[in-house]
Amino acid sequence: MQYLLMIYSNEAANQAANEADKGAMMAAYMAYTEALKQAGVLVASDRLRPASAATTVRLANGKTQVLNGPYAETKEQLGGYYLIDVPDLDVAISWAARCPGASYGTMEVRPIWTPPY
Amino acid sequence: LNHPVHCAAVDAARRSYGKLIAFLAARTRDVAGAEDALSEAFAAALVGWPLDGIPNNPEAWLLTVARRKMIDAARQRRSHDGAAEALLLMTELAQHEDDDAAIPDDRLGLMFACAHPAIDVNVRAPLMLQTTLGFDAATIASAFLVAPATMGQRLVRAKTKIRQAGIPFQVPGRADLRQRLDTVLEAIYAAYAEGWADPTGTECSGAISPKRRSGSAAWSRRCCPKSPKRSASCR
Repeated sequence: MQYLLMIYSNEAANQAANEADKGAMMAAYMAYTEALKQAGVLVASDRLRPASAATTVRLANGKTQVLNGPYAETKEQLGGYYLIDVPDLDVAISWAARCPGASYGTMEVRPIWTPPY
Repeated sequence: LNHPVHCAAVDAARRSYGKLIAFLAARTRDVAGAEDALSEAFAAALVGWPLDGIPNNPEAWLLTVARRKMIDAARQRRSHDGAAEALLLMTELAQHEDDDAAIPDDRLGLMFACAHPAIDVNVRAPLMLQTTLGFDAATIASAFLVAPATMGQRLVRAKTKIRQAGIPFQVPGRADLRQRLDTVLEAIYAAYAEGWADPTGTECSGAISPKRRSGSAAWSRRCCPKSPKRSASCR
């Protein structure tokens, strides 16, 4: 089964961190990504630009409404994701727990919906 | 109701229900589908056994019929998942058809699935009662003082969650075992405590007797690795 591991964390706090802490975090993520690759479970992974770079779009009465900012203003923002392919939820949870994001934010684990929809 | 066929069916239901559900669901993660297939198998038994006689191994007979029903249902879905499930079940069916005696007991795995942290804490004990002992939603609802429709909905939602989230039917590894065992024991506790809601035992018709529940506590004690807390709580 494929699971999306979503990393939610406080962007402001991350940006306020000093260079040494940022470097340590990057190293932790690189090691984690490498571990996923080694295990042969990584499908895709990306880091997102901050929520301040987000644009929200929706169609209302046939007109496109474009708004500045993320869909929801929350204390923690979606900062990146890992898409992994593992046998079951317990394995997905153990990978989510190993992600650096689990120690300074929250990981959300969502199964991918496979056809038929 | 004292007909030998009825007695044999009731006896098989009492002894094998949870074991058969666990076996069928562990391979498909489809608890609702396993329940449907097994109840169809019981219905077939009540029709077939009076004519053909009670089989030597009623448990194996029920499993074979239920498995065929599940394969049919999986085929009908014609989905990718359904096809994979049907193939898996057919392979197993071919392997075990002549090997009736050995039906593996996956009930402990089923209990860990029911009491998984991803399942809403309020439905863990009811889900265990339904899947391992075969109580219907209405009986469970009255024991937990919840409207039957509400309980039915909660149970359906939990089964959907098991299937969609890919919750495994297995005893967790050592690292997680202690924490996960606690959730299982809490659910057994809750299930057991409900038995004392009727201390005088005057309403024995539909109520869940402590004796039946203690059955699940007893075999979880047998199956679980040693844990001091476990022996205290399962007594």
